Amino acid sequence: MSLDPASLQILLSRLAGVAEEMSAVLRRAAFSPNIKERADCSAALFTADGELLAQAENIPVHLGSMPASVRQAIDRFGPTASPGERIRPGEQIILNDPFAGGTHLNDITLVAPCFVADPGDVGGEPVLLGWAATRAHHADVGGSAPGSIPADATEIFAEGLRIPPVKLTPEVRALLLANSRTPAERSGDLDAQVGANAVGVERLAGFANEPLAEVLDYGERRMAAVVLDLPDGSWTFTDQIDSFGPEPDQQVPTDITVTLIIAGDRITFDFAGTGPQRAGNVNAVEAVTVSSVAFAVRAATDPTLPANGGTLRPLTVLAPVGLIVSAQPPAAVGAGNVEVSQRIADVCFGALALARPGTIGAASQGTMNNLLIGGITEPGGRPPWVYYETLAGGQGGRPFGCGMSGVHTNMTNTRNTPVEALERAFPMRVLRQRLRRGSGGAGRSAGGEGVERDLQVLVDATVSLITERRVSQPWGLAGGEPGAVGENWLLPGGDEARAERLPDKCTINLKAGDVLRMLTPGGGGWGSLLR
Amino acid sequence: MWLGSDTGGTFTDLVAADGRILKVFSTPDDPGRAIRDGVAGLSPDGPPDGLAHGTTVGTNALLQRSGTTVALVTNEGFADLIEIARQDRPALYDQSVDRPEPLVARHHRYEVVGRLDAHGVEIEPIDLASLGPLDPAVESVAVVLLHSDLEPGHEVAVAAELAARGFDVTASHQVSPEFREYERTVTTVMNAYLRPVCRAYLQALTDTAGEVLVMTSAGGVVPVAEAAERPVSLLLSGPAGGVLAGAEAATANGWPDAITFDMGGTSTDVCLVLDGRPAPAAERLVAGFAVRMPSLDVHTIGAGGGSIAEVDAGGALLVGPRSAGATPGPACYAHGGTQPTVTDADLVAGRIPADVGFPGIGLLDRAAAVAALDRAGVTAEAVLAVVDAAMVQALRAVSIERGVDPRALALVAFGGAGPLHACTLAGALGLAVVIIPARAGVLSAVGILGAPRQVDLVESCPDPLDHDGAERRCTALAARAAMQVTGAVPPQQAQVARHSATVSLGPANQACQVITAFDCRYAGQSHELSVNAIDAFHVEHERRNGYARPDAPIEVVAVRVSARVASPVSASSLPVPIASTRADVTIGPAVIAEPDCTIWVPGGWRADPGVAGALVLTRVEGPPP
Repeated sequence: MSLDPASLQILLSRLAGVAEEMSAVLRRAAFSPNIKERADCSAALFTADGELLAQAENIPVHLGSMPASVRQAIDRFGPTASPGERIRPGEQIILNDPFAGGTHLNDITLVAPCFVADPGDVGGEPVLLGWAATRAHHADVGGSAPGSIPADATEIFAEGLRIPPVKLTPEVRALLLANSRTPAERSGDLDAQVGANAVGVERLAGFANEPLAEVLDYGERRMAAVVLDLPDGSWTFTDQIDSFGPEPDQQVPTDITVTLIIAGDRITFDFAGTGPQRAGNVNAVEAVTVSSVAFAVRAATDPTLPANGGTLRPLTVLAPVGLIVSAQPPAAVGAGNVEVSQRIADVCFGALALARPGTIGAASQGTMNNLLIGGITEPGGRPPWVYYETLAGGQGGRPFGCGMSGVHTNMTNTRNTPVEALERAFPMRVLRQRLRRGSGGAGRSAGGEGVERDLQVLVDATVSLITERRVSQPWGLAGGEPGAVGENWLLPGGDEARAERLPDKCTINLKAGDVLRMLTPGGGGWGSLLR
Repeated sequence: MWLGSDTGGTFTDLVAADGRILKVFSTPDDPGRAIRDGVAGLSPDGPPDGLAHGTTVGTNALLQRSGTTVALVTNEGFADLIEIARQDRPALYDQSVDRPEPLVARHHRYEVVGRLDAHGVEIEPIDLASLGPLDPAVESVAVVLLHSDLEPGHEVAVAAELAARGFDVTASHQVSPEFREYERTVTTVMNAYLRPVCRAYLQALTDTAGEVLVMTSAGGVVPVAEAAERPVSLLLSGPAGGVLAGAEAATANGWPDAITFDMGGTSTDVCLVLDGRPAPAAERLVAGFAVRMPSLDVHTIGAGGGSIAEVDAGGALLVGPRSAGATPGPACYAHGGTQPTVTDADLVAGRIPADVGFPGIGLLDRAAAVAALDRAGVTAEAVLAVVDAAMVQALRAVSIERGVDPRALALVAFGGAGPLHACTLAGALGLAVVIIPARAGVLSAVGILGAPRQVDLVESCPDPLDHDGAERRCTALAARAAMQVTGAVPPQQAQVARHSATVSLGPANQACQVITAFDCRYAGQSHELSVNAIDAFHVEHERRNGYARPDAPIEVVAVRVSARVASPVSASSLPVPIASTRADVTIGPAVIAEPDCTIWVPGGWRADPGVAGALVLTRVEGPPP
């Protein structure tokens, strides 16, 4: 360690400041509500070797998965590429392929190199100092349904345009825009990402003479100290994904099993025993799994752990290829990011709770309750419209207090759309939006309550639901009761008497006046009520 | 004679229009007592003509949860709006951080039958019979119905019913007539929650002066009766006075573009000032609640003089967010503090003279500060370097991150610790000049005394694509605001020129300035930009966001107006205090110790007397001698 404590802190704070500035530029310049208001985006800086230096993330699922994108960009266009291919100053690399550094196709990552003059070779070739990268959720990248997360996809080809790491040229941009239902919005959001990266590259160049490796060593020391504090041993926890699609043969569960191994200052999460990837879209690529594990460790131990590559060094994630947590082509992966990630976090918390009982809460709702509604368009009629949202539920009860009600937990934290904003922008009406009383698991610390919401469409429309925990319950802990499962209902014409139960995942057509009722899961309770 | 006063945690500061200042100890059990004592001290021959004062009574009641018992009435099916909020959690990773407990208990949430559609048109008539009896423990009621910003009729009916039953009622269209129901609900509930306690406090102050005005979050003053009706508008008034006076001092010294830097004991407030005007904000977080009231865009970080320095498990030096607070305070206060703070580092590094007493503390204990730093294994220089780096990030956040080049700005420093750190920060970011206003230790009271009378109004636009309608709406709203702020009665006589024009109207013939703005966005966006003319939206969007869409339709969702009448007292024209320290040129390194303020002039800097009693600090040209 060569840096004194003050210089180290100042370097950390300056790097974090650059990531925050990139994130601010990205959100300020973005066009779509998804990035601007829901903040489904992240910005980060990396060393020349692709180790994460600093990250400003608004969505936990981006935390551990950005390095995979930069790794792919380096392998393809970095210093070892042929001279004709090698990235040059001012160029940027674009990718979204989940099987080449991405997560799901909506998340488009842009990676830009930062070159500085070689101080030892005045007038010589500039040297690569590091990389700036931004990731943003683009609302539509083509595919078989608006929003690019069709509930009935069985292969990735139904989910939209797949972009391996390529240089962002005008031709590539044109190709991307031609494949989106909302090209103008995509163009504005891409510009915002390019601009944020340009700022990051300019600022990073100011760190040419700083010992950046110290930042990573610091992260490693912080993480090692946290892991050392945990008891040595091995613990296994299993939970399940309820289904992988709407068809009867898809309505079967898949286990997610993790074995947590702690030895000194090393921590390993081994997913051997987890079920195989399935012919549905509920599959996660390994980058998503790493993100979910990193989230759980940080949340369960020390929330102030720095977001850098050093923090990941003591952490090993093992997942044999071809599982629901390590999907391979041509799996559809749209819901891996939003649903599998939640269950991976759950099993990691479950295993950590076995290792250190009394410090971790019961299971939260464990789903994002994804809802995509699009208008059926007719020539000369209302222009196409797409509305995407996720619904809150109950947080698990915690050793130190009851779970919060009607709140997003774990891998997401996006805000809702206000009822007044929704009704003024779309032909829909919210008839009811209350807490689902009694849905939290009982316990010394009760689980938080889910939400009940009735949404009426005022025109014919198509809806896709991708939800979980409609079969398995969010578990209680330390003697607490599980939370209530969620329920999806269709009320034709708003008629309670004709209400019909919908499966957890489905795409259906609604008639004007139909009401979609969603009851989201409650959190599990913590601690026995019997003393 | 007019007086200004500002109530702080330890001191209540007062300033008179003739330039005299007075500090008295605050009386938290009855904050008005310190004010009455102070007023009597500065105006011994009877009540002064007027008193402009800033209060934190509402803020404290919120933090201590000592407001009244509130009920909330919503549409059928929406009782839990106040708890679901925007469904996000306050901390991404920290599982122990909860959203603030809602101000309305579950059994005090009531629903009423009746509904409007997205255009404000009735779908279902209001049914007052569906609103059952309220719990007798309830004192105050908030009424929030969907789309009432477009059509308040249903809310008016419910409010009238509840008022007839004897409740103190706040309806949402009265305090925040804008769309997005959660923010409107919080703002309305907050007003209902605070009104009884604020009303009692303010009414007790009405006889302290001929006229009593109260500072609002927006940086203007309102009559005491109006403040008592809308206490939610006072919640963020704390830092506003200093920002206003800082902006005025900078402008008077030729720097209308500046950043104000108010470094206190536990936190630091910075605010961007452009063209002499502090940046406005339409919504801010207060105690975890999104309160939607016009306010100043003050950026706060949790580091100040009392922040504790410690080395973490990875070997990095942290300064804050832990704070020694007022008790035990920094080690050098010798009140039992053992951990080193920023103030201890300032003292050991020689930025604070060891032989000058601190108000209320006396002489500082340098040996205790040295011992605390030694115990923690850190040097004073290291602590200062880290806290200064955090301050630099805060200054960047309000300048560079908003597309403003800091090298064209002045840094206006005040508050207990601001003038100790300002030059280092200005040097790091390349700010051209540091300005220390006169009376930097009581600047908030100065700003309150010089604040304009102000009325801010907002109105939603039912048809966002009807630009002519928005223009007419804006003109009518401007006239209404001008009449309210001047006290003019007949609406027909109000001749209001818009876009920052200054006009004369009303019987008082007071010069009234009306600033108008339109909240615009491109169709399909969910985020608005406030511009002073609809036509200016494309250009402003380009400036702020890097691009424009000249062919896309512009939606106008709301119009805003702010009508102002200047204070009879100008903050920058108060008689200059007789401070010999500010009469001469000072070459750094040097410490300038004043009764209410300590200024550190580092080597390579010089301090010159400026306009209106300010000190202007700049880098010395050429190599240091």
